[in-house]
Amino acid sequence: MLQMNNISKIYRTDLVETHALSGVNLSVEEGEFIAVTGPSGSGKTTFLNITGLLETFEEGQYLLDGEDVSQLTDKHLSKLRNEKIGFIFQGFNLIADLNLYDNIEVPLIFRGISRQERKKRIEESLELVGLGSRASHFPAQLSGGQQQRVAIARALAGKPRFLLADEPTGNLDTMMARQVMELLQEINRQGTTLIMVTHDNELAQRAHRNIQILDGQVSDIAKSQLTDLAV
Amino acid sequence: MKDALHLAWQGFRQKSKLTALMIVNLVIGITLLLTMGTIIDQSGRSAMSHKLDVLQHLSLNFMDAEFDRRHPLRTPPLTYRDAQALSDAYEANDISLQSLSFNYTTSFVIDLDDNSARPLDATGSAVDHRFFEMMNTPFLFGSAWNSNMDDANVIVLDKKANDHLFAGANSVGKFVMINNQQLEVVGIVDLSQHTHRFQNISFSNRNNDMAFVPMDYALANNLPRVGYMPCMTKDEALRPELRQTNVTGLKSAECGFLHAWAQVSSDSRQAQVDELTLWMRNYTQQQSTLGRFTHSEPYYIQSLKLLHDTIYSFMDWERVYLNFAYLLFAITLVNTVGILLAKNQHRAKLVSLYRALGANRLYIVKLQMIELLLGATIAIILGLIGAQIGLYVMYLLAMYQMDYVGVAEQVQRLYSMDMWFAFKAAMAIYITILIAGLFPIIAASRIAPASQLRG
Amino acid sequence: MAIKHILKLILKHKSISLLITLQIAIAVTIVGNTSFISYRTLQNWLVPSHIAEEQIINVYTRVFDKNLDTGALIERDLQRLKALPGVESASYAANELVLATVNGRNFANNTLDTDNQGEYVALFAQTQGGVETLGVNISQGRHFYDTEYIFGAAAQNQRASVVMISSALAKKLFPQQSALGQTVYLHSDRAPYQVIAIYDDMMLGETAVYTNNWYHSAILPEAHYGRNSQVNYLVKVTPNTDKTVLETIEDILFEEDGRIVQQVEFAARAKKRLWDGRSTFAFIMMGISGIAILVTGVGIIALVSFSISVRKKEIGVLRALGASQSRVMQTLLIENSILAIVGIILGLFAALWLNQYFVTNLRIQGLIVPWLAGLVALCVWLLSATAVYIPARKAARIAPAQVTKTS
Repeated sequence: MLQMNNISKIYRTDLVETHALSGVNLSVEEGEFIAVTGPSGSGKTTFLNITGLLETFEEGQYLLDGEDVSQLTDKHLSKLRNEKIGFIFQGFNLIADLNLYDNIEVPLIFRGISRQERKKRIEESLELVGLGSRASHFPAQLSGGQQQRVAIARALAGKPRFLLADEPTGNLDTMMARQVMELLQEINRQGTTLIMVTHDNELAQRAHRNIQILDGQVSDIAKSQLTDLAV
Repeated sequence: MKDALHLAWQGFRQKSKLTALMIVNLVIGITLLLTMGTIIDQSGRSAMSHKLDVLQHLSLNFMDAEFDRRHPLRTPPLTYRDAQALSDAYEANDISLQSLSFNYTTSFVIDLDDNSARPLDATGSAVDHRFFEMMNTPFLFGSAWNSNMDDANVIVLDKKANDHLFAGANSVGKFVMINNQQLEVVGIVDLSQHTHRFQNISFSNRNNDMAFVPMDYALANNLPRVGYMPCMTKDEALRPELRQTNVTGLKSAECGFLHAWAQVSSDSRQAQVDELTLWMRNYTQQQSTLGRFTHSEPYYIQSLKLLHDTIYSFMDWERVYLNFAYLLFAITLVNTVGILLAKNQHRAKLVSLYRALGANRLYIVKLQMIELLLGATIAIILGLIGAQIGLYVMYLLAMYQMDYVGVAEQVQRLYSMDMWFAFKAAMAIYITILIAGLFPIIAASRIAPASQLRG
Repeated sequence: MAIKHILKLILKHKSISLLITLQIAIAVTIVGNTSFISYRTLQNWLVPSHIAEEQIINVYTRVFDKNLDTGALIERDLQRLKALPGVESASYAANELVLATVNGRNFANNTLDTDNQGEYVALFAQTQGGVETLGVNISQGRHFYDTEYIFGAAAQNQRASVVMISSALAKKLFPQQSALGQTVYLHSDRAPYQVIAIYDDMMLGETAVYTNNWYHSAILPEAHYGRNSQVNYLVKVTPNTDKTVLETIEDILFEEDGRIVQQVEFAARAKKRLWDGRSTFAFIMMGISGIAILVTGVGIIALVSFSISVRKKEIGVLRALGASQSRVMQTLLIENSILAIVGIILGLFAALWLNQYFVTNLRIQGLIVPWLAGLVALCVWLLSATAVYIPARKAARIAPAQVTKTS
């Protein structure tokens, strides 16, 4: 489903070139739950941005559902993000001035989905995350965990090919973090591919497959190795 | 303080595009406001500002009962016989005034015997000797004629006429010709300070008298009556000849052409005005037994100040411009607030760092105040320069509107900035900008220490 | 985002939205009125005069020496004027000059009934050559015969018996029949004159134009002098004559003692004077409009910059959720257009109100022209769109990756 061949990303300033990623190769299959770990500054965020089509890269090839995305225009990339990727961010990134219903609706409108279909999907997804009765609330009226569940609902409503979660529990207390994690696992069990970037080994343990980024290099590691790398 | 200045200067230079936008925007607003404000201010000014309350224009309304004065500047001048009566009362000390003066607007061609300059078509005034002192006419050379010379062949020239006829030289003692008669020049005045021709209450801002001749000489030699001259209906048909030729008829006609000005003493102003009013009331009542003064308002006594206020109320267009200027200045203030907010948004982090490093709220307010003052100062200076340009453009437009017949010096005076007014206006603008700037400044000072430092 | 979401965001950011709307409303108020006033002025300017504005010269002089024989002076003057190089014809003008009414209002009547005020008319009382100097084109009837010209002192009160009138005046006075051969009553004593010719319309009279009777005029072969000190001439010069001719005329007329030359001007200058007041008002209003537009433009840029800087993160989220750069731009433009349209509607109402004020209190002609109001609305909308384009382009460039920055 997702295939990266030899991807490199270099940040240039006047003085230095930083190789954020160098020669990344990765293949993700349908239905997988992958946890990406690595210390600060290892290139995790760059990896996340490239995977989420939020950033472009210099070298290599990235095939999403067999389509090469390296030469696409902003418009095309936006369309792919909208249709194929569901984002879950550490900071939730809900639009504060819109209520839950509207928040979930925004990406569906980008996609040109009909009003009835939108309504159906929004209600379904809110139901799924257990916030069915809160559609007209504003984000600020919810707890952090609830906000993250709204973000998950927003990601799911678009029926994406995969969910891309960036430290989904980073801003949550333990209790809420567990609930959100369980929700994500449940969604994965129902068949949605999940790629999660985290520095939390405990969370990473829950994934089917663990990937580690070190100095811009990506490699599969065994779960048993995770503890050693705790940051 | 020095470090605060330094930090404020840095803040000023941050986001230089926004800062420039803010200043440009303020300069536009200030330019327009100062331009229009100056025009209104200058129009309201009088060369006689110290006599506004003591100079009174007198009118005895001999006109038909249906006469509609329309506005105070159309107050009928005195008829010859009413002027005579008023003058007699003054001479007989029936009324106590500092001074009483009559004038009428006339027109004549001034020529030179030796043809050394082209003849000059002059509108001027026939006045008595008291006129000059009462109206504070500034003499460049010579002086007014004496009290016994109101019928003499003498003339006082304005600087413009003297420039034309004598190339600006002191011409006192020289002779000019009017209607083939020689008149001796006794004085040269400069009326360019007088932005309005108020002596005949026309308040023209285009031109003023070119010359003054003695009243009795003018009547004896039939210099025409060219100012506002209303006649009762019964004499209306005669008006053209009464203006041009028929002086004998004029002296008995119900046609008003003489403007009377009384100067009361500033100490007993009200008492003298009251006495004058009483005289006018008695006179019109006594005359009404002869069938005269049938109008419901038989007399008017109007101070120069009141007439100036009337002029202000006529300046509809200028006030429209001024109101627009206020409106646009208000918008530029709103924009300034918007730009300050945008700037603050960009540097919330910096402010929060200062706060974390120990700056108290007052210090932040101080920094921002200095910064705003810097901007306001630059904007006001540029606005003052802009207003000079604006006033010059308005002056050119005014001359265009007058088809270039206005006297440039006189018109330009209406479109030049008075330093004291500029100073007051600039201060008012300063304060306004600071008050408008308080909101974003206080908002910025409320940023909690270190709140913006994560990430 | 859908319009619905944009509306919700506008309502959330009330103060900025209100300020933008208000600015646009004020700009529309000012610009709207300016265009009404300027349009009316322009319309006046554009009324064709059908006269050779740069060929006809008005000469104003006064005889101040009462011993001078004015009749002989006029004959001498005309000879000298006609002898000047470039002068085609010249005539003494006893009453009116081109687009300059010097001797009060004149009326033309088709009846002796004094209750009827009659029609405003530019009444030209000329010596021989007057018809040619004005450049009249006779469409019906005949020219004056030389014997019909009257030239004498006003005191003798000799009257001519014939008149030429403009086609517009002919239609006004005699709507039912041909004016040719009819009697027209002129002057305050209503002297009768027979119409012997009708000529093509020309804009000739100042008072007539002032009362919107653009083309009302009449020519009499009757020239009196001595009623007052005025001695005026009309001169026609060949096309493209340099304006130094004005000075030449002044100089030769000044050679005669006992007389003063007040002004020598082309008819074009007199025509300019017709609209001086209104056009000056229009010019100043245009200046203020320009400033209003500038200030509004700056204001929108500033306020939108601010509102974008506040919403930077939100825009990043939209980008991540699949909004392309053009969609972000589009959203901001729609948002601004909604505000602009509300402002424009408010502004148009305010403009109507202000216009009412101008017309009733300031005697300004500036009636509402609907298509012009539409044009102003469109232009202001374009202005606001342009102003918002600058910060919006910046907003569209906000990288979607900014959402993954930990904060």
